[in-house]
Amino acid sequence: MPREIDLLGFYMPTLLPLFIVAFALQWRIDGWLGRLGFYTHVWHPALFRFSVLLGLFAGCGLLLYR
Amino acid sequence: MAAVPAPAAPAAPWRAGLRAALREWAGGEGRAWIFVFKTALAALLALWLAMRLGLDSPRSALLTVVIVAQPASGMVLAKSFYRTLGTLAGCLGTFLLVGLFAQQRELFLGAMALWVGLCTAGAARYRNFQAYAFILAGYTTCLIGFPATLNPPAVFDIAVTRVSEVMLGILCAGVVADLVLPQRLGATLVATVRGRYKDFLGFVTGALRGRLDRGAQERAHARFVADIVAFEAQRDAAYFESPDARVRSGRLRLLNAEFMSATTSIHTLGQHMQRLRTRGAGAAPAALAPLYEALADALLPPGAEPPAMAAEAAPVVARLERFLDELPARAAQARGALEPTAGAEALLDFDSAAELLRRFCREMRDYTESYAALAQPGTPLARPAPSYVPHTDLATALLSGVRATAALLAVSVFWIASAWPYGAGAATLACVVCCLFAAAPAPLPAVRAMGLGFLGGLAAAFACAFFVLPHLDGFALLAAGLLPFLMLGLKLAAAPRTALLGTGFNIMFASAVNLENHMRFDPAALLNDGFAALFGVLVAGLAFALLVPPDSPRLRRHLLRRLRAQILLACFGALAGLRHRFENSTRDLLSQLVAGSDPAGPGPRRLLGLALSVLETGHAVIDLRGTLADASLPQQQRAACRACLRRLAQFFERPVPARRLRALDSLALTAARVDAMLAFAPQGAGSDALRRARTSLHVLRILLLDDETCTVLSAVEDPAAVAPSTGAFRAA
Repeated sequence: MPREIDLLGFYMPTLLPLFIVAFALQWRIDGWLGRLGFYTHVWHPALFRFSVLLGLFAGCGLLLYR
Repeated sequence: MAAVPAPAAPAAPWRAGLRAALREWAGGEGRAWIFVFKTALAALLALWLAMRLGLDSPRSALLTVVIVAQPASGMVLAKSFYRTLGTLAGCLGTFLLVGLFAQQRELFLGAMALWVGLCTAGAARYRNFQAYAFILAGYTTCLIGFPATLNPPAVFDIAVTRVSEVMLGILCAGVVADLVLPQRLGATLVATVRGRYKDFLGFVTGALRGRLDRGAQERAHARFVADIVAFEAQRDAAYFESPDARVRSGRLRLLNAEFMSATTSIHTLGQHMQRLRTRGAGAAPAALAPLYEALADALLPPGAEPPAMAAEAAPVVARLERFLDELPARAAQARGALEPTAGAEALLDFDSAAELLRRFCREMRDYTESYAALAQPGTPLARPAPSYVPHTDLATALLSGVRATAALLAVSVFWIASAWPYGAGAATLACVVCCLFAAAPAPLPAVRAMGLGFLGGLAAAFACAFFVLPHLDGFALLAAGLLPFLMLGLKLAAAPRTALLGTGFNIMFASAVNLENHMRFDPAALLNDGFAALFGVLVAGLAFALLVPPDSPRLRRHLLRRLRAQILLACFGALAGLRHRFENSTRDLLSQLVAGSDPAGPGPRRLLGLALSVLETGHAVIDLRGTLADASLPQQQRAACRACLRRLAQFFERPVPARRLRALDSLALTAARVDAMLAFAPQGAGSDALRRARTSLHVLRILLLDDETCTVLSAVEDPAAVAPSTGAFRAA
């Protein structure tokens, strides 16, 4: 995958759309886990959520920088 | 030491005292300090990242953090979300403007002023956090557009830098707010809902048992009105906190809508009884008194405690259901006892009051049911939750837009005419202030407080940049040098009284200190930029003072007329979902009128009286229209009722005695027609609908006969009613 995307002559880092993808994924997973009542068993739900987001983003990043 | 367990008793007093003191501190002052440290942490984190990543102006990231800083996590997230949307929209707007008018500064500035005016009008119209998106869309164009006019081909780079910095600031602020000692709105909302239910239940039982005097009732209603609007704003922000909050959001919206209806109904019921008593028609209220007692007992049996939380409210629902089932029989029994002695008028009094009681009882049941359902988040909603739409009056919003356009144009003319090198800063700040206070009820004190904050921030930035920073080396020392100034501003921003002062201080400090990877120490530039900003604030303040200030009598009179004209919506609006739309927009207008003033003061109390009268009448009208939609109603009577509604609407458009008489005549005529039809065929087709229509007509007639209500309605023309409200405006 290219590390930069040519957008009308402007080079945009591919990480940006990947971040948006990771964010959308996290939002879905978050809603899903919330409905399952998963967060009642988590000590710090916000930290968990952030970690999931970081994990997803880093995973997407691996597609580029491996 | 540990071998001998210390006796607990002697140590207890001071320990308990210490613990109590600590708890108190954690509740009040502690929260403020948590906010200060969290925001400072987020600000320094954003600054460090921006410097580490080599962004062009790290101060934007720092600035973003101090701007979105809020004590509650959900509010930071909500503000951040809308800030993102606004920044992106502002970027697109700038591309358009620069693309079209980059060569012509007059055209460019004119188009910019129009765009800013539009955004300001939007910010004034959508008052909650959505307003923030419009504010950002407005001033992002200034921030990107002005530098871009000097170098149009670079507009894309400038925009990208600006967006990256803002995003970085938002990410840091959001992550820190959510992870480090989060202050959840969800918990506050739960406490509010519980307290409100208990409060309302106490009020209702007190009113039903006749234990509350007029003053106490008015105070309670004033409290409820303020509560409904504040609650909506909090619910909006809590949406961003967690999936649980998102699930609960619809429930809370439904709860708030039902609370609105229930408060209106109990007020209508009380007023109706009061009117019957003042007219000397005491038979019906006396016959209904046992029913009231029974309802009060069903809500809260004597000696019982009100339910402290949602899970305990289920028995109340069951008791209310039972009461509703028994109500027709009980009412018939009471009516039977009344019938031999009373005339037709007293029976109508009784019927209308019983109908109002039934309606209140149903609404109270719905409200309690929704409250009890909060304890079971898994179950589906009992009814679809109607949305609460806070919209500022269109004329007021457009005026705000005109004000912003005028302020920006004035600065631009001065800028061009004097070839002032720092004009861009002044124009930007004028735009920021106009946008920010577009929806403020009393913008002038707010602009003054913020201007003072700017002045303080400028002084602090000067001291920091030229006496502290030159001696420091490396990021750790830089952070240590910035921290005292940041904490001072944030501490000021944390207290409601000095919130605007603190916000102004922070914004000016963060932008004027102008941190960069290669610091340039230029006292002249700092002071020139700072004074340009202050000039911008001054022009914006002048615009607020000169161009129809939001608290001017004319604007208030306009709003008051709008409030009264809500009846036209009830009379002629589309019937689907009308009751909620009517309730929502009327209460919203009321909240705009009383915003920023002490709810117990004489002005707001009169406004509340006006709004409640409008609500009462509107609901009676909507009841009547609901009956009119019934196909079984005879054509002639329907036409008469329609004519009646038109007369009523005319009276509310201009409440003069002649129109009141005409409306009353029309009501009497229609009532006579309905009576004749009922006497002709008591059990015929449509007799049920006719009876319902007759009751609604009676309620309307009693309402119009009440001199006090009519005085309140015509009070718009009275100068005392349009006196401006006073009071400070809480941070934007």
